Amino acid sequence: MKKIKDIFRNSIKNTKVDQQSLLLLIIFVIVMVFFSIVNTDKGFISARSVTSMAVQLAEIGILAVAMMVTILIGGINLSINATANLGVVLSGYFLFLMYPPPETGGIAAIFTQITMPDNPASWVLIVAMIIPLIVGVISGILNGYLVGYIGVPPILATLGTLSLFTGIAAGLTKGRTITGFPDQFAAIANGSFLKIPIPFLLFLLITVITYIILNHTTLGFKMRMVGTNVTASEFSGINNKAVIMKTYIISGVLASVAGIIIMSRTMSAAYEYGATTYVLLTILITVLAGIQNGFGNVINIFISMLILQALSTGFQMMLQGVRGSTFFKDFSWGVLLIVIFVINYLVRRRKSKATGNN
Amino acid sequence: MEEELLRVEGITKRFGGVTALDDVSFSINKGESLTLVGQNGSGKSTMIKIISGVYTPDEGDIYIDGKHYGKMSPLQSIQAGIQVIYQDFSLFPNLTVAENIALNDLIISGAKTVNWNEVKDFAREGLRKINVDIPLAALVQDLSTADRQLIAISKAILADAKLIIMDEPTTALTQNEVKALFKVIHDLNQQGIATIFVSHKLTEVREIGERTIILRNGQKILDQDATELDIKTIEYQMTGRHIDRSSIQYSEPKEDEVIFEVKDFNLSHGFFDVSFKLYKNEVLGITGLLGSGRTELALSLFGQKPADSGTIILEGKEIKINSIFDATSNGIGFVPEDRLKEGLFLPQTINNNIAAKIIDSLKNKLGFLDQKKKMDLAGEWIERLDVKTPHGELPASSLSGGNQQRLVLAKWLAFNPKVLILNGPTVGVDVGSKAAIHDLIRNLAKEGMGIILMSDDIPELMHTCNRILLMHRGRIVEEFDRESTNEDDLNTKLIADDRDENQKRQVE
Repeated sequence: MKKIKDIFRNSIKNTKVDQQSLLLLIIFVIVMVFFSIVNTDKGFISARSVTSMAVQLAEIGILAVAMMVTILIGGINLSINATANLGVVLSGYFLFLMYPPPETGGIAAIFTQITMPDNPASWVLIVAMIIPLIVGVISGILNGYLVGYIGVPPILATLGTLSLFTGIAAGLTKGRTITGFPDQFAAIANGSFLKIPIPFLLFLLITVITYIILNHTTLGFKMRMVGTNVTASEFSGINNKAVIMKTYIISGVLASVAGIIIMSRTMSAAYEYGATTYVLLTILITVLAGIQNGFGNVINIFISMLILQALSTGFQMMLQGVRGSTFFKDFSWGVLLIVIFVINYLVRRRKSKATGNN
Repeated sequence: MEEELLRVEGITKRFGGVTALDDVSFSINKGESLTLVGQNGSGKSTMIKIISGVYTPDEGDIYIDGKHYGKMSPLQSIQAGIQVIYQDFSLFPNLTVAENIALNDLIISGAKTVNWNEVKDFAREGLRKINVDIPLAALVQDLSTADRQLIAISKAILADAKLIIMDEPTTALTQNEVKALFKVIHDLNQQGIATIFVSHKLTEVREIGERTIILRNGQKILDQDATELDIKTIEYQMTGRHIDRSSIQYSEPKEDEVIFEVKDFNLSHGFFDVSFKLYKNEVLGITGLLGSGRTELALSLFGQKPADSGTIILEGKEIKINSIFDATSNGIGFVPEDRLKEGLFLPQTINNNIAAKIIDSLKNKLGFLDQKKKMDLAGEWIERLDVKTPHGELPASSLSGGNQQRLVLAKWLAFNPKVLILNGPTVGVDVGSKAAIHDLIRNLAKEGMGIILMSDDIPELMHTCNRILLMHRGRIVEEFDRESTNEDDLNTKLIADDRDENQKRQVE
């Protein structure tokens, strides 16, 4: 009996990740209880508000997973948002080619409004959906090649591809927003299955698949090793280049999926949608979720997203009609991040004091 | 000179339930040279940290120059003239030699502007005090480990050190550099500065120290004149058991069966015309000083730095090694020199470290990673190599140096290579683990694994190898048979070559 207790205690002591999950869950519960009380009359836990939260958090959540896998292997991917945007811009460009607008001087003249026929061929719609995913794969190959094979530091390589992708998308659209995507596409962001919004289901599915990859495949194992010590993994016969390449491809494809959801929600594609905030936000979420090089649990990304979304919606409801209330969201996120840092620091310090450092 | 400088009395220090030091007392006189010896975990590092004020002892007293310190802070320790030189030297690699030496003084003086001439004069003075000559304008990152160490020492002297503690200072030095360091230490002692020298290498203990203190499991086991000690006694007192060398069973190589052969192997700026054969059941040693091409040869055989030309024949078939993948898929394993950087995933679990090489073979039928298989495999190797740990889910960083090295070995042995290349497999490993690793190496050879052991630790080579090749300036210059040579002979040859080289350098 004592042995079992020891094993249990040891496993708790030594799984940093699970501690982080516990901390995040506690914070999530506190946040939910707080806003439920403050916003009772406004219906914080009403079906409508929960649904709207579920849609909003999905796209950033998926981008955060795209960021997370690269940070796990000791890299970073600044080009996720640019990849997402380029994917849907090219998709729009393709629809434009298929159904050129009437009475204008060709594609180059205007490129803002897609005129869809009443009954578009279904293969066109399918190809338009696949194009962003292909862009995601190409983005991943490019990043993976630069980082893994050439040896460019990840932050520089992906900053380069960020500029490259944004530049291509801006050139194609002349800086304008493409609108008029086929109505069928709206179903992705607005549809639901068993009353759960599809974007949320996609986020959940991606979280589960990523969890399986990271924790139950040899690729996930190798990713952790590469993230922990890239030299030792090379000397252990792990093919670092392939691991890095695969990771950036996963990241690119996930970014594209987020791009499709954004396109479906806004029914438009812009070369710089979310450019200034999304990437930093995903880094914040990754840090919040306790992801480090070689260590981390994708479930924590999921819980972190729930917290951030609850904070954002909660404050919005609470301060409805107050001027400048939207800034309070950023403020609360900042506070949360600092609180978690401090808690983690205190926990670590207590631990190292207890064991000594000889 | 018999004036007492430092005395500690009844020092006890506990971490949680572990007693790191148990009622230890000793003293050191001015200008005395003391060596502190003990296996990993014997309490050496804890003792140093107590003397330097990093840790506060649970019980016991510290007296420096007759003054009693109950609780001593690091600052008080420095003010009392105690300087510790840790293995990383605490230098700024991107600054010049002069800047590094003068930095402390600059900060203390509180001047807002820097007088560069003063800085240089100050640094020159520091180097003169230990009679060495290092260009003041050189960047520390471009210097050898030995030079960095000398800079750290001159820094300590300029801080008015009365006692300089050096934590395993010779780990990364060549034999000649060790000699030079010893001379500096002797000079310091002449000037009345006491030194405490912490080491694993037993031959050094006899050379440098006037007096030796041995710690074992946190207790002082021995404190006596170094001249009265022989290596066998030190070994016995450190480990608590006799390591019997006379009974070593060397396996007889089968000279008609060549496992591995290298012909006309070349790498520009690395090694030239290297050819050798490895027979079955044989441990082949390759030695040479830093820069002899030994490490480059190891890296080329493992595909990390592919050779420019040459032939490799494994079990009668010619193979090409242009990448680590080529090497491992042909069954060549490699235990690298730098355990921490190249061998281990320190924060990862012990289990993960052992499984890292053969992870692809630990899948279940569905292609997913089989966690249970991984645990079982790791558990088996923890037992077979006697890794001392409560369980395999602890991080590798929780282990001592010797046990960490066993992890690196386990990772490769789980892969069951045909040829295993080991580069400096016992650097920074305590005597007990060292003997165990040597036993293991000999047994592996006996079981038929081809072993190439690269090392500059002469006793290690003599205790494990059947033949020893000496490399110098990228070439194999001599071959020794264990039975027809001895340690002193090999040592002289190794250093003679180095001296040669230094003379040539001066001529050039």
